[in-house]
Amino acid sequence: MSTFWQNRRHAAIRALLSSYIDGEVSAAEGRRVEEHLTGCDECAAELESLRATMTLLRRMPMLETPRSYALTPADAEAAAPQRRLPSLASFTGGLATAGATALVVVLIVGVVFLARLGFTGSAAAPAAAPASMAAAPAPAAPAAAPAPQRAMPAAPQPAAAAPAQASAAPAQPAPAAQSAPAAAMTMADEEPSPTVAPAAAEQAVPAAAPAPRAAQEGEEIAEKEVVMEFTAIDDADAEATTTAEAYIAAQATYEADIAEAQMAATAAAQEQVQYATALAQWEKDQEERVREQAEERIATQATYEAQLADSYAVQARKDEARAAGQVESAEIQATDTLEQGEITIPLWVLWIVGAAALVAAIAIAVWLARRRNDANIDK
Amino acid sequence: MNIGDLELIRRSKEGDLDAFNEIVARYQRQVFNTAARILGSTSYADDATQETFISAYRAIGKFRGVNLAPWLLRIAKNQCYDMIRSMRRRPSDSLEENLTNPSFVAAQSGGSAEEETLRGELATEIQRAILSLPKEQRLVVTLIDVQGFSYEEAAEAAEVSIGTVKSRLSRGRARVRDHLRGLGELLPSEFRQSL
Repeated sequence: MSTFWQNRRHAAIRALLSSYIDGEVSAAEGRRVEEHLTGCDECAAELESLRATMTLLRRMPMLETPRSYALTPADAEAAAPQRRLPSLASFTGGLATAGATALVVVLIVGVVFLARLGFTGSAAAPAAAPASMAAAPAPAAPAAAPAPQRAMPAAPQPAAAAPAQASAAPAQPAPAAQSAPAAAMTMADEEPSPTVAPAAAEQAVPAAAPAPRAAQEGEEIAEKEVVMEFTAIDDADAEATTTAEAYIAAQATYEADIAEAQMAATAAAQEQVQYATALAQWEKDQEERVREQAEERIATQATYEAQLADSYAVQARKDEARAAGQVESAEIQATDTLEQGEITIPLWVLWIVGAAALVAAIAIAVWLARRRNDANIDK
Repeated sequence: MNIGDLELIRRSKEGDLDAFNEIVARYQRQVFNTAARILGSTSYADDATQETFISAYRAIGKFRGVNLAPWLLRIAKNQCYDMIRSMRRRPSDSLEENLTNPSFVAAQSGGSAEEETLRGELATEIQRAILSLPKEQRLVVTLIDVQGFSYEEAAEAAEVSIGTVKSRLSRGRARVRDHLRGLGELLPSEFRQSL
């Protein structure tokens, strides 16, 4: 146990060192780092090496601009005709409204169908089980012993929550299909289908437009960033498609090159190397992105667990200090959750909302059906 | 005469090109340097800087903040990311080839701590280390460690939370450190021990 906690503690401290050097840690984190550093030469050396790295980076020369970037009147003229952009608020708002509308329609139809079909009790039971499992909030820290669970019951587990939500989606269509094959299947098929949402989105966007335009006047933040945020959206889209395209294209050419090279020996060899480099770069980036998220989660988890061990062992009876630790950990996790959402917010949110709503609807339908069943039996 | 940024922003919104060009003059160095470090190329940075200010001119009417630097750097970031993507599609446009371009290494201002400023091969190697980072880490390391921006400004420019800035910076610094460890004799003696 001690080695495990020691390793966790090293990881947690190292994740803090960079921010610690800049004084960007909380008082409690600062104390934890300092306490640890007095007894750990390894982490102290790590700190020094980071300091040296920062000093070298700061000594990089400031480059002179090769010219002035002042806009000429002609530049200004060309730049002036602004695209009349709808505000981002109306765009996402419209999308969300459309998505929600589509979901409600699908859900109502589903509920009515299921209720009409009148469940048998046996079919309803398996459907209810996964539904309640998915609806329940993710359980607290799995790695931590029962005691820490008591210490921090409120802290949500990002890692545990994600799989739970993910499993909700594939879990429910199957039980539902058992009881009402035809109706439930079409419903389940419809729900994830991308064609429903865009169709509804087209209807909802014009309807939603006037209100956000009025809100646009008031909402400073949304308005000031419209252009930037549009670029960001374009970026995200472009990145997704271009990376995929680039990958497919690179792979295709790469394979073609191999064939060519086998026939025409040396001529194509150089090109192959280039494509291989491109591929490798892409894969490295991809790997990096995945690792970045994983590392983040591990680091957060480690910090969280080290803190738990700390507060439990040393401060078991100091409730106030423990409460402070909770707030801090919640903050860390909140920022972590933010970053996880950073890449895929709109789709991700819609899916989660959709899955949760579907689960709730099925649960309600099951409950209704059972109640009706029970009532019938009572009669 | 030293007019405040807010006044320049106000006038720019009214279409005063001179006022906007004063903003350009104030921030072009930061924008250009950020782009150059992220792209590893002064000629690409030149394009990115130009595009940044054209986009900024187009969007200044919507600007509601008070701090121009993070806003401009955010535009610059998007420009740079676009360029990185298009470069990746054409692998022959290697970032590397530009590194040894004498203008990249030599073009530097006097600065106050002249003898402290890194030059030549070491500066090239550190630039190479920065380029070895994923672009998100490259951005925060450049903004905070090379350019000296605050965490808050970097977060605003990168459009992420402070927590994300911290973790990207932490990983970026560690990776640059690992790269520097391989430089041996090239490093000033006082750093060889601590690295």
